[in-house]
Amino acid sequence: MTELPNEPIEAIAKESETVAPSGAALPPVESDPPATPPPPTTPMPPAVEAPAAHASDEWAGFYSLDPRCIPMDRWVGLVGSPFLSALVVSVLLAVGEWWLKWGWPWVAYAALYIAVFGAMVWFSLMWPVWEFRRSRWRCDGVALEIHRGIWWRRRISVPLSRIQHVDVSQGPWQRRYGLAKFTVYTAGSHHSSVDLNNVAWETAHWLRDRLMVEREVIDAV
Amino acid sequence: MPSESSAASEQTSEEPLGAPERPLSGPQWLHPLSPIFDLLSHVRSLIVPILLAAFGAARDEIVWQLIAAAFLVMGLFFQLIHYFTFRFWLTESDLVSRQGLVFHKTRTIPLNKIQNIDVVQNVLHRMFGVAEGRIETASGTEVEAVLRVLSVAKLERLREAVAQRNASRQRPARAAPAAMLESVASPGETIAPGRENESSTGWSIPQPVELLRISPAQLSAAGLANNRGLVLVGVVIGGLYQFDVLRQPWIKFIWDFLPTHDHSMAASLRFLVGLAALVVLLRVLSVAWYVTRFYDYRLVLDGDDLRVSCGLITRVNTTIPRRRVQFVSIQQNWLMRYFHQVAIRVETAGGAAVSEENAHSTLLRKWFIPVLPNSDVARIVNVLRPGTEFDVASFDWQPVSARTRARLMRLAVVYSMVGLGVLAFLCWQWGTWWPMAGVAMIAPYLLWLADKKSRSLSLARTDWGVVYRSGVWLRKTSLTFFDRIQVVTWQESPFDRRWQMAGIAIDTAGSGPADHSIDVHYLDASVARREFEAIQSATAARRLQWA
Repeated sequence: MTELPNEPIEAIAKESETVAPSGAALPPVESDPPATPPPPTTPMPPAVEAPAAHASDEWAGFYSLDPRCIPMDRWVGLVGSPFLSALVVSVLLAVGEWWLKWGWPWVAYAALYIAVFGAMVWFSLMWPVWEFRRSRWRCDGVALEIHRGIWWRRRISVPLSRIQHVDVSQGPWQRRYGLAKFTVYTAGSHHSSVDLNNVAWETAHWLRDRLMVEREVIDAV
Repeated sequence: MPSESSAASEQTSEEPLGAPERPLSGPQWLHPLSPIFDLLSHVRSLIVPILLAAFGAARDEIVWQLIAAAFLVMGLFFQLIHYFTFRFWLTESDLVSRQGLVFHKTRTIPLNKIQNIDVVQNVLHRMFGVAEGRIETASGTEVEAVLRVLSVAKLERLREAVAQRNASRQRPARAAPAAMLESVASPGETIAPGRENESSTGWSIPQPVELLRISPAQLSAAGLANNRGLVLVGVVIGGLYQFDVLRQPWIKFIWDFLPTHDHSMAASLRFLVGLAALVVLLRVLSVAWYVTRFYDYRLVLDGDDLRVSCGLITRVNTTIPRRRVQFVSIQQNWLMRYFHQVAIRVETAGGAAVSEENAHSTLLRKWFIPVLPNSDVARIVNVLRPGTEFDVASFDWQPVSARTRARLMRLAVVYSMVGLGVLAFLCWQWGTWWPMAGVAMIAPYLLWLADKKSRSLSLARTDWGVVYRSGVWLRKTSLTFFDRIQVVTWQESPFDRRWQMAGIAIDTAGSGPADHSIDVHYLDASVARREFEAIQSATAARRLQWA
């Protein structure tokens, strides 16, 4: 499988910020768990600079996701879009021809397919960038705070002492790109679990270890 | 069916076990029989192959049995994958499990958050000397980790190791309800706030105190103010359909009241009288519902437990541990306002205990105090949470944005226009125009409601928690405490952005019975930001007071 052209991602990374730990090489996949979790060896970079496009104080102290999620999400979108657009068009075709009896020529449906496919490709290419730009997270000694959402924006703050347990999970695509999903669970009702998707695999483990350490401190108070 | 024997994890092990350095610290496998038990536990998913096999047997077609076999093999295949990829181990502070072949998942459960390790052992388990371990923390509804299955010896070692590690940290699992119940009598460790009040007398167990008793007169007033009669009407209508009474001759008598075929003045008058009679009847039914349901209502504080008992026909008794109260909602509809009454609902932390509670006690969270004089609210809140000054007038109420009225009114206009458009189309189809008059009346009401709603919303942050009130016809004032807040969310929709507004939502455990949540919209963007940060830091500064 060939990589997508890297320019846009590089540009984003350069233009906006230093990114929390930039695992250059793919991390080795843990085949057997170690007896004790590795100490938090990955030091976090100092607070990221705010990207020029946003109000500077809004993003102070926040990290972005791992930029490798952009090519990954693009690939996932590109692989999915021919099938998804085929599904959309065939539903339209079924409704239009069998039910509403439009009687369109097949060329119309071919054009429709190309249009839908094109739109999906465009979204597959753009959406990951938008999502990347609108997603931030921070884990200070107080809370894990996650900002996300492009149109409907959210900041979710989970105080560290409210975290019951955590998951680090990784799907096959994420494994290829060295990414992971970090999930914290609380005793809440609507937010009984809060996801932080597409951070570097090391970052997820760093977060897990860090949260456990912070918890020790908090509980000892 | 499995016979469950549950045991709390924090058995006080008498002798400091000079156990091996770190038992279970290396990766642990499940018992080799696990795939079989896994498969058995998913009996429900095996229904399809079983049915297919039965179908095939009945029709004597081998192909169905082959398909059934394929299902079974696939099921077994996934269970085998689970068995071969699942590992768990203990670290100094955590129980870690790891699973998955394609989708990996590593779960880390801090030992001191483990409330319970349930051991499930049915006859089949016993035959092979294995058991199923279920590890529970306070989170959510699902069990956090299921160890299906382990040898009994290993499960016992795990439980011992967890208990031992928790003990060696000099911190018995605070979260466990069982441990908490015992500590009520011991004044040394004050965990729930305000425990000092009761335990200051030393070791003497405090006498039960009757906090509230509701007289039938108050219940009748509540019945008049609330529309519970509709509940009974539903039952009656169901009965009518059941017995096909619509064909009975006396139905015609009621039918005559409807002014559909007779447009005379007398008929209309008769119809109005009939309608009034119906309303009165509904209210009488409502009174009956309240009186039978809550007859001789008593609220007693016994130690740290709130005991509620009520009911004329079915006597309901329930206990709500005070420290489990997460959320208090004070509700008042427009009629109750005339009677100077409110109703109070509470939400409690459930966790593992919830499933053991019966429907009655769940219902009594919703109807915790069905009716209460206005003047008693502060006293009751102070009992629910000692040290809480609940004085609505003294709060620093933060109203929503001044532009909310304009925004909601614009929304009302949009709704009215859309409704009008749809109705105009329908009228054009029907060829009659009188329904339009109805909408002409509804539109001003919507505008009035928008105005009222924009004024009804406000948020207050006190030194102990957050209070939020909303509602026009049914006013709800809800409060929660910083040490009960689990997650704080700031949210902004595209419309919010246009109006420079934002919202705040607060998540607590056990949400539901109060039918209200702190989910504030239409705040000024700057206010929302400020309050979000303030609530966030106030929450984080307090330890979780769990159960």
